[in-house]
Amino acid sequence: MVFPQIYSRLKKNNLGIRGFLISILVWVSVIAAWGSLHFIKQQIVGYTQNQLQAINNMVLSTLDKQSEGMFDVIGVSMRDVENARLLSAVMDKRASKADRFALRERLSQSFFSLGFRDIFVLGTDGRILLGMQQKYTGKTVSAGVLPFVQKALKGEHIISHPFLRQGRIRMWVLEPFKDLNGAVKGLVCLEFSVGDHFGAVTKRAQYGSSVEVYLTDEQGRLLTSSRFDNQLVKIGLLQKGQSSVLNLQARDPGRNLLQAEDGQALSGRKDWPLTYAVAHALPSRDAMIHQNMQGYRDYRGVVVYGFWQWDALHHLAVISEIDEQEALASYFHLRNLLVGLLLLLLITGWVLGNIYRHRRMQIESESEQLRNMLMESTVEAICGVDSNSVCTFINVAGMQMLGYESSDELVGHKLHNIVHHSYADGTPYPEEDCLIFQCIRNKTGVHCKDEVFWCKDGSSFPVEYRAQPVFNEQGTVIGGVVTFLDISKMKQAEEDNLRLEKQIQHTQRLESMGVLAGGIAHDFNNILAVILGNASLARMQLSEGPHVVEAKLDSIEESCDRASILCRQMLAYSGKGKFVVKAVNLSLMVEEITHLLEVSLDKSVVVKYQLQEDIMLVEADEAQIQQVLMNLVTNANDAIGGKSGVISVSTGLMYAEADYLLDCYGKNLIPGRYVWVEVSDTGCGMDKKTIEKMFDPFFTTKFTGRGLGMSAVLGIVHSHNGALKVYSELGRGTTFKLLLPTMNVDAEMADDASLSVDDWQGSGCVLVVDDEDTVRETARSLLEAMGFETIAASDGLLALEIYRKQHDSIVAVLMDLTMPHMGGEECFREMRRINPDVRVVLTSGYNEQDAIQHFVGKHLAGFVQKPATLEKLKAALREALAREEGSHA
Amino acid sequence: MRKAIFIACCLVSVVFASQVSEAQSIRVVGSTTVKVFVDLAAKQYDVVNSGVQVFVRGGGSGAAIPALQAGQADIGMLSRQPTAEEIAIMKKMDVQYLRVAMDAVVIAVSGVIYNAGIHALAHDKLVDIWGGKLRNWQALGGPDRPILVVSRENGSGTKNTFMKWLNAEQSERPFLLVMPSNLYTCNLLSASDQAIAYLPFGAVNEHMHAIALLINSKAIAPNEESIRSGGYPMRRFLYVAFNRDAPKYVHDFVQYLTSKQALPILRKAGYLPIK
Repeated sequence: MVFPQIYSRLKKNNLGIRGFLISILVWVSVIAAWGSLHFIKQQIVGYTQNQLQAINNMVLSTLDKQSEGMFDVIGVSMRDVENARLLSAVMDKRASKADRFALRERLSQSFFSLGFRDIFVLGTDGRILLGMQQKYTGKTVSAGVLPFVQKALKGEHIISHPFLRQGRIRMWVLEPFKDLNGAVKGLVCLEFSVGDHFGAVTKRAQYGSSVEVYLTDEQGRLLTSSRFDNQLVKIGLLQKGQSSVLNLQARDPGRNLLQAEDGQALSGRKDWPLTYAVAHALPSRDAMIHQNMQGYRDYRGVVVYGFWQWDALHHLAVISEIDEQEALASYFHLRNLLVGLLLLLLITGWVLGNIYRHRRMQIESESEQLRNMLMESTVEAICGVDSNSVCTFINVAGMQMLGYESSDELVGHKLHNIVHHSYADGTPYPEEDCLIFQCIRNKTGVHCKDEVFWCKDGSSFPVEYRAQPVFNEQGTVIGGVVTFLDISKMKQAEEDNLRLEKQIQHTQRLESMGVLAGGIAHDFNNILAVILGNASLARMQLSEGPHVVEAKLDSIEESCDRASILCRQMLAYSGKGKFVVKAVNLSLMVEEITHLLEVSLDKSVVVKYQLQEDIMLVEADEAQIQQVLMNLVTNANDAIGGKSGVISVSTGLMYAEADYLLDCYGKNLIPGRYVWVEVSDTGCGMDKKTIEKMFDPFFTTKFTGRGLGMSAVLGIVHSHNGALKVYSELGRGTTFKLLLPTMNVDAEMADDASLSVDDWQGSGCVLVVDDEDTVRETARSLLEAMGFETIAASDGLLALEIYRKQHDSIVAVLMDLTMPHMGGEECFREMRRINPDVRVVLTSGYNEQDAIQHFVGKHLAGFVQKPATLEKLKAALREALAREEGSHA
Repeated sequence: MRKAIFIACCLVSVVFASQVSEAQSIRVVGSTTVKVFVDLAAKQYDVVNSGVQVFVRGGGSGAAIPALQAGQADIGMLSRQPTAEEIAIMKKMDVQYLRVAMDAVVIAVSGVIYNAGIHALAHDKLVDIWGGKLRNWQALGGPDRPILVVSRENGSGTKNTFMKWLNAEQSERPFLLVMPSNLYTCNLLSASDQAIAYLPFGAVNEHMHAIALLINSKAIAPNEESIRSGGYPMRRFLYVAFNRDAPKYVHDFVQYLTSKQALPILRKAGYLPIK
């Protein structure tokens, strides 16, 4: 329940999911640290308790052992016959002076050598019978030891508590001396200092800086000196030089006296309660509590942990204590270390975070600067709109184009309403129709070149713009970026270019007309000469008979026919400059103008024709294509330059790949089938520089040329969506190849009404194998018109490879018989190995009998004699496929 | 980040380094006379050099070299010149010994006897007392009381020095009380009203009544001047012996014993500096 609250608060403070996770992490580590510390503390306290208990037990048993040792020593001494005799004599008060000295001497040797400090022999009345000094004889013992004397006289050996004798704190071990009947005759008492017995033992148990073991009597008076005598003197609980033994009662002052500064600290000292340890150690207590590990105050008021036991033998409490501060020192140490590390971690994290943020901001500002710089430096106008088409930014170029001085005039306003509100003709442009609006709505980029933007001053300019939607992280459109360019100059230039091109074409046509006119005039002159000559001859030979004249008239008629053909050709050529597109068979067209071509050539030049029959149609303006051919042939003639040479004119069909079209002249060329006309000469060729400039208007290498021919050619090629490929080698000749896209076959077929009757449609993929491009492409286009898909292969090897990979999808193979690398026969054999049921329709220029004699009994699917017409092909394939299906059925 | 890790590592290593320390202990065995001084010095040394613990045991000068030899001690204490035999052993073991203090053996009597007027005794009287010929203080002008003669065990450097000076036979127990340490001798002297004993000069205080020696009818009291000058006869030196190969902290402690810092402790023990 807490986390969502924290999260919402963090979110409010803009910290988000990362801040939330970090705070969770911090909390988890704090809780884990606290838990571990708590566990460690428990462990340490447990360990301390064990230590104190062990010490206490050790002290207790050592005290017992030591006391037992003392009793033993006295016992042994008293069992000595001489000692017993002398003691008996002393106690019976019948000892001589010598006896007394002897006893003193013997006891001294026995006990002083063990560290005892005085020796007394007491009578049953408690008075001293013998001491180390004569003056003691007959004296009573100190009050402090009297209770122990009385106890010992009852027959049990005992160790007294410390008591004061002659200004010194002493202890006695009292051993009763009994007669043969077991009656106590007196006591042998040995004196020792507290430090020799209790003190020595408890002192040995001290360790660390505060662990002490001390003994107290029932009143809580210390029976061993405190470890902290110096501190006690300092705080006033003891006087200087005074021992804590007997002088200090273990009472709880209720506060730490070591830290108390006021003089009232010790007031009411008599009323202080006994410390927790002493109070609970006394045998009078019912409930036996032996320890306190929660902490209580000792006689200094310092909080300690303690363990205690009551020693019945010595009638005292044995208390072991350790200052809480020391017991938990390692815990505090660890805790501080952990807290320190945690802090260090936090601080380091904070510092690194700041460094990271600072660095990121720096990078962001740098990139923003760069972005701004880029945006402001570009010539293109860039502006941003939000999802409501409200302008969010615009660069300087944009403002300049639109004629605004400040971006504030645009930013925050609907872009459409300001710059895009009307069409060029002034009719309103609804925003719903606006492409920019649609770009945002449809999440697609738009490109437009035929609209206008309106300036601040109310004028408009033609614009080319692109709008691209902008998405956020979730993929939602948050706006768009519009880039636009003023294309009024470009449009103007285009119009100028168009006009210039037209002029050039016109001028060029006139120029070529001039050349042509010369040739024609010469030809015409020849014809006229023939007519005139024959007419004159006919006149002269009129008298010789009609059959003679008839021959002359035939010649005149023939010449007139020639002249009329020439006229027709010229008319076609002149064409009135009108662009009349129709389906054209290029081979036929070339044939038609061969004569026209030849008349304008030098006589030393031989023209060779290699024209493909049954070529596909192209959509073209015949007159313009004729002009192109005329120009190319005329140029070829000029290139040969009066020497003998050959001009080859050929046509064909090919499939042009994109790669092939790359080094062709032309606009927006699309890969596909093209019909080509190639004009190649054996002339002087062109150098690189000439090739580069040959299409420039008014560039010419001829003395009389105007430099317009090739510009016109290129213009015509462009207008037909055609391509022009040039290959020239200096000194060897030049080849121009004009490619024109083929007409749609359907359209072609529509012309042929007879074919449309049969509407059989094929399907599937046919592999067309032929080494001749034109034949192959023609076949392909025919097949595609029938509804097949086609794959082409230029020889048997390639066909085999394709068939191996794709034989599952190929329904039939149309294959030429004779091909390089691998002929049709071998290829057929190999295909049958892959698929015995392969349907192969053979095509060949040979007649059927000759061609298929090697295929008898080999399941040839069909044969088509070249040249294959649509009809023949359709029939062959239809039959082939039907037969196979039938045979399968 | 690397810096932060480095700081954290330093912090941790400092914290843990402070907790780890190797306990070094020095065992000192021998003369109880020297022990009085070494005990006090050890206590002080403990305060100055925490981490080094000094354990001091008695046993008499005679126990010093055997304890060193047996490897039961790092330092031996002698309150007399080492014997030829001991020197031979020390040479063999590469043990070095050096003087740490000057002392003298003095004769002390119980307070009652002293107060009765026994302030000085001649050499022959002392020979008689320890020889068992003189057995009552009356014969020396004191009260009518048997003399309780206290001696030390064999091996005691104090006894060795005293007997050398006395140059006479001493009688045996029970006539003679034999105490295992000077402290017990003192206890007996102060508890009794009829005892006489020999003690180190250092053990003498207001409760121990040292008497002068009558030499050529001249009473020579034991004091710093007379001892240092040699006028008082039973002058001796206190020695410590230690192996030259001993660890550095042993050498350091020995050096401390002979250092200026230890002088007040030496004085407190009642002994005299060598110089």
